[in-house]
Amino acid sequence: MLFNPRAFYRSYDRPQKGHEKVPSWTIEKHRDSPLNATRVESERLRHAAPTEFRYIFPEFLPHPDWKKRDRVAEKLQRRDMLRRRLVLDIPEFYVGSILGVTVADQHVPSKQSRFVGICIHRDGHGLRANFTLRNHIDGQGVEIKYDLYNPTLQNIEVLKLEKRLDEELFYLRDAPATHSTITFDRKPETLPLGATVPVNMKKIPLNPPPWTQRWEKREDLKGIDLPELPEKRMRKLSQIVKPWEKYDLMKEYRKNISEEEQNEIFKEVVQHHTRVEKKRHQERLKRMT
Amino acid sequence: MSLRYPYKMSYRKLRGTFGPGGGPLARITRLRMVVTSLIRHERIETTWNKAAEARDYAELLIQRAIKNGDKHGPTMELADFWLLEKDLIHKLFKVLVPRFEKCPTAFTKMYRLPYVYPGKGREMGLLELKGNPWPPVLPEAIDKSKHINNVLLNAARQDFRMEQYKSMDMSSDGWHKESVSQMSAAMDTVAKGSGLEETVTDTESLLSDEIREEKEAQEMRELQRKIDSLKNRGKKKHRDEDDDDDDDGTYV
Repeated sequence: MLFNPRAFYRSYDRPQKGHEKVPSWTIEKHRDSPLNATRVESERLRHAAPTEFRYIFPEFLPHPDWKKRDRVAEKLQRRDMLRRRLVLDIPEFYVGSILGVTVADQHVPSKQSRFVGICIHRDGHGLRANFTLRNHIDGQGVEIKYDLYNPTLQNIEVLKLEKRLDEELFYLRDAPATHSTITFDRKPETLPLGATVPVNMKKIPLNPPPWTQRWEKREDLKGIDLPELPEKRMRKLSQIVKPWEKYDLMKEYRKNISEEEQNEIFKEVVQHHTRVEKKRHQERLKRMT
Repeated sequence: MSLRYPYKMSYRKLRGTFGPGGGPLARITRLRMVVTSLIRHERIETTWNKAAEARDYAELLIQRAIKNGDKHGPTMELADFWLLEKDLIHKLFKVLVPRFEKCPTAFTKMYRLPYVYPGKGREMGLLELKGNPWPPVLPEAIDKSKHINNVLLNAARQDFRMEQYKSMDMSSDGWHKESVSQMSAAMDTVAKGSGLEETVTDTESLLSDEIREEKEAQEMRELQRKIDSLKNRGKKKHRDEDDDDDDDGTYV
């Protein structure tokens, strides 16, 4: 009836205790072959439980408002997204990770332009999925918004995979430039296999006001170190605070897709995984021989 | 965790709860009171809007309790927030969770109450938990098909229809006389075989012969199909009509 992740996952790729031979042909071939020395980054994804997929592939989830949904369009979009992912490796990343993006640019002699920055926002559903990178270059703060499934995107490289305390880092605009500066020739840092994504507990000290937004009113942002503000400004805060919001079940329900539907959607992603692994394995064999 | 009935994407603000200037806090407090009384009494009557809003919260609360159980910290905190009378937390986890664990449909049901003058000036609703100890809201439907008046009426209806088919103008539609005579003969046999004459006198045969009724119904359906096919023979067939003359009800 409901998608049982344990039963599904058991049959998918995880080796079972006490069994010499694993049912999945990918693991079997990979282990038996002498090419096992090389490890692929997507190994981490291969062993990801299906419940983690909503964080790794958030753009696969549709809009939570049922009035804005079109099941056929969503299915077609998901198919296109998976086809694009066969061509381009779109890695797992979060808000707070440092990415390097190479875009095709006809006006440049090398026909490619690269931008490195910290991901401050991730938005959009389906093929409209986008992310914003921020960097401080030559005394100027620069933010570029990229579409994940833009065909002119040639490479998305995760230089540092980590999370922050918040889901959006727009407050970096009102923080000192050092917190947004990332060198272009930064070397990628890899995590050990099977490690969970680290959370950077850094609290950003903000510049003295005026700010682009009233950050003191945003009680949901944990990564800000608020400076001392005048009493008049702090007086209104007690009226704005809503301690009951965390118990508001319907508010949370209307913002998210239900678990049953999520499982159905990510079944397709799991199938894509196996296909990608098969293709990569074949490519590895070709490279070696 | 999903609501098993249609829900609105916009929440009801419930303005004017506890007088003017209440706002979201008044709304959530009022909903807590409705949810608490629903869990306690298992059937409540309030204004339609409050009942409809509280229904969503009650359903999600029970779903959470079923999913997480009573040892889960955040769920206990949630139950503590929503249930203002703390003995109901025990009832939620020990009575309602076992009751609704395997229930695939919604746990609550809502009815619209009639407007009784002078009333409260607003539409009233009844919200109840399924499996409550009270008598049912709606009376159980009585099967009146075997009542003498209905039996007589059905027989009269069939007689009228048969007479209509017999007296239809065949020559204008290009019908064959043979097929019509076959049809009328078939209808006569059905009329005799259905035991309509017998039902008036033999009440025992009515009670025992369910299989005979099914056969009669099937024969009537076949006859209807034949009639329809004969009617539509001269007419143009539309592309989306799946009219099979050979259709005998079996699916290949």
